Amino acid sequence: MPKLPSNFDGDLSEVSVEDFGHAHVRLADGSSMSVEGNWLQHPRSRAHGFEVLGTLGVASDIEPPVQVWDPEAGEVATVELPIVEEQDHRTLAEHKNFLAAIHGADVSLVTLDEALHVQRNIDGIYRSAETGREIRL
Amino acid sequence: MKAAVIGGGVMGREHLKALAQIPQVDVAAVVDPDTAAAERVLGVAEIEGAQVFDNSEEMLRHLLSADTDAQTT
Repeated sequence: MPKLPSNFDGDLSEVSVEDFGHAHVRLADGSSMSVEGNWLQHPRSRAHGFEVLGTLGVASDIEPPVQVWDPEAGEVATVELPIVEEQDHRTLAEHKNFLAAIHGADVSLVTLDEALHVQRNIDGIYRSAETGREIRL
Repeated sequence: MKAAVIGGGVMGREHLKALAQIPQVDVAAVVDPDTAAAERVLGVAEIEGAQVFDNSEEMLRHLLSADTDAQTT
């Protein structure tokens, strides 16, 4: 087999976790969400991130972060937002927040309910893949 | 505060590297069915003195009776 493109420095034959997944999630309010995950192969310019596509605008974690339809100008305009420099690596910041939260010195950035909600969605995506059918939560 | 990390893969390594930068945290254990992988990520994160377990139940039995406060996955 030819050497595959990879974001992983090690030996691919030693990798035992799954890679590459996609799901389409329809939400109760009529909006929908496309979830894509792949970290090992298929190197792309964007390693991770999000885009929110609305009727009149787009928000994302890539530049420009927010663009909205300007009805007066009749064009899409970029909205300038203040950029907050990250003090720590994100994983380190998450741990510091978690530790502060369990000591009562801060509020957890992610609540238990939010974590369970995400897990229910992930479980539903797996069940859908296993059954080949839409799963209603 | 003592912490245990479950998973000795890429993300486990990243968690350990982050925890190693927090002075208040003492990494007490790493769990992975592949104990060599757990040892490897501890080495990458330059963490010494942590125990290695091949399952989380065993780790919990050993450590929860002590004073481990947090786990990360």
